Amino acid sequence: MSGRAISLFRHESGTGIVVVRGEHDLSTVDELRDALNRALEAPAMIVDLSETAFIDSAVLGVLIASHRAAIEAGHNWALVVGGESSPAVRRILELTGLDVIMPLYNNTDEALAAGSASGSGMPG
Amino acid sequence: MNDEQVQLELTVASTAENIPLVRHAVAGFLDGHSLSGALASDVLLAVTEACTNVVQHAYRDGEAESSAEIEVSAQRESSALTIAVRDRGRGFAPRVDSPGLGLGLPVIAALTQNVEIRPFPPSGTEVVMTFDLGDS
Repeated sequence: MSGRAISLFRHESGTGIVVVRGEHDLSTVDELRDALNRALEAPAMIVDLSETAFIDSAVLGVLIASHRAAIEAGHNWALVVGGESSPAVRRILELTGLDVIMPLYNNTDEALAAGSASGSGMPG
Repeated sequence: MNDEQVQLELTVASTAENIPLVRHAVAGFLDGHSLSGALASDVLLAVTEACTNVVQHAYRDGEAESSAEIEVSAQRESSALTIAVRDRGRGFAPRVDSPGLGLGLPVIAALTQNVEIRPFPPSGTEVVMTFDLGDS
């Protein structure tokens, strides 16, 4: 479980970025939920799973709730699952169909650029 | 080493903090059998989902913490891997305040060749998951 961490920082554009590193499951969903809720205070947020080794459906539940809350608040929300992301992360997103439902980007730069290009921000 | 005789037996308290512990124990078992890649990834996700079900559902009526446990066993046979996750809780019952999305069992079903969910006497539940090893 070394390297397991959730960090939140604010990009100069004002976008809140939550970086999720290592393995995450029911044992860390409270911490993740807190970080996502704090990020939701920004007008746009990105959840970066590029360095995530493992997630399960408990984590997906928190991501779905965050996505829904952002939509309801009129905020922008994006998920980064890059080329370096764990196959385990991609696997559960594909199994549950969330890779189709959620706005996915290859890296945070793409997600931020999508937000700038659309004017109103990233897809909700 | 005779693969058919090597098993994993593990009992831990039914807490969220122990879910990664179980997953890592099973990962070690898989590694010991030279099982890796996508198969191992699927096994670890299925085991995690089964353990999460125990923590979230099996002991929700305030059983003494010392009796709330997750029991895991794993056995490799020539062409299949069988992993059972058991509890001694209250069995399956409708729950209107379920904390999850209900994705756990569908995910397990999608990952396994076969899954059986059955009573584990006297009142618990046993989830037996089978994975096809093919030529692994």
